[in-house]
This record gives sequence, C-alpha cells and structure tokens, in this order.
Amino acid sequence: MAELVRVLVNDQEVNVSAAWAEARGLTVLAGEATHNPDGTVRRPTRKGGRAIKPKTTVAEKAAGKTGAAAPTEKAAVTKSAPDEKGTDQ
Amino acid sequence: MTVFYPEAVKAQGNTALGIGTTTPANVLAPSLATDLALSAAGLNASCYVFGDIAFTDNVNKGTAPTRMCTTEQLQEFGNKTHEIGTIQLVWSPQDDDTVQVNDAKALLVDGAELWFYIRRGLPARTTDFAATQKVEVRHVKISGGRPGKTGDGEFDQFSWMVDAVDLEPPVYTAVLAA
Repeated sequence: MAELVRVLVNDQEVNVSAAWAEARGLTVLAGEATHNPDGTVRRPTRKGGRAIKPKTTVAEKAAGKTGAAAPTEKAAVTKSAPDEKGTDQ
Repeated sequence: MTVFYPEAVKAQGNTALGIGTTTPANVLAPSLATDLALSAAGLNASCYVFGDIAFTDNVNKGTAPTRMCTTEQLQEFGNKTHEIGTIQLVWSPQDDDTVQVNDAKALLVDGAELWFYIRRGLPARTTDFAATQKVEVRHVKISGGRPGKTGDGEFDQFSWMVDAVDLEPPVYTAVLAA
C-alpha cells in the first residue's frame, strides 16, 4: 500500500502518495493526518481542515436566485359571491 | 426527400482522461488551471491507461406487483447504478514511482480521492485539454493497486491494476473553464 501524505493543492488539503508529492514537488503538510481515528482515509478539506463547501451547480444557483427574487405570496383575497341571482326556469 | 446522414465520430484514440486532485468549485465548469492542474498536482493520464475504462451507468428496471384487476405488467424505473471497471495502467516494475513512466501508478493509489475528467471526440494524444471543451466529470475513490499483465502473449506488457468507485453521480455535460 502506497504511503499517503497530506498536501496543499489549490487551497485544499488532499491525500496523495508520497511518490506523487515528490514527483510534482507538492507542499507536504507535515503533521496533518491522512487517516481518521477510526482508520478510514481522511477526506479532502479546505485549508485548515474545514469541510469543503458543497458544490453549487449552475442550475441550483439559478433556482436560488429565482427563489430569492420571487415576490412574497400575498394573502388570498376572498372574493364576494356574485350579486346576480340565478333565475328559476 | 433527402434523408440526412449524420457523420459519426471515431472513438478509438479519441478519449482523453485528465485527473485532478481537488474538488472543483463548480462541477459544471471545472477550471483547467486549478482543478485539472495537469502540470501541477493533476495528470493527463490518457496514454497511461491500457484499453479503455469501462464506466457503466445503468438504471434498474423492474415490475411492480400486479393488481387483481389487470393482466398487464408494465416495467418501471428503479435505482440508478454506477460502476467503474478495473483500470489497467502502464507500469515499469523496475522504476520508482517518482519516475514519469509510473506517474499514473503514483497518483492512483489506494485511498486516493480523485476527479476524472473524460473528454471524448478529440485526439487524446495530440490535443491538449483546453477551455470550452466538453467533459464528463466523475468523482472517484481508488483502491486495490496490484501488479498485472495485459495478457500472456508475445505482445503483452506489465500493468498496474486499480479499482475505482464513484463517490457521487457523474456529470456528463461539464464544460472546461480556463
């Protein structure tokens, strides 16, 4: 199993193999854990260890904007019953 | 009436695989400079993969219980499934993983979480990844690196075999941004 190291790429902390970090001259974050306490591989994080923000797709952004711009729904206006009475035939 | 005969696009040699290590800010418009970063933390792995990578995306189909009132059974759609076949990489057994020939082996290691950018329809070997190109994006996790061979014949070569799984549904219609 290849040795993993934690490196900083594009303001994100990710795991790569030590060989890949060396080959590409990546900045290894000494002391940063590559695994969680339960033994699972640590997921990528933002610089500093915070979780990466959920990705927003264009569609979601557009939906969000539409939702924000939409006018608040007005209370339904009750309509009075028609004045005219039907005629009995 | 003349029937339109669309020209199909040749597939062989026209699939490129770019691999990035970081999570794109916008998966529909991944950045060439920061997300693929092919000359930094990423890799153009097109020529490191033997054969092809089998991405299998299916939708389950099944039949709901029939009702007493009918003798017809119609199928309906179920879960979507995503599967990636074993990836066979170029491997030079007597070279270190820091040597360029073993770049793909060094990047696709057990536990690595990577982003695959699959570009179809342009010559993989001669056309660089560039902005406005359409790609498929897959967020994958790698496991199980082991030695292999492409076969037992006189033309076969050593390979490094890894397995991958999708971590989220693929995006087929991303467009590369600068």
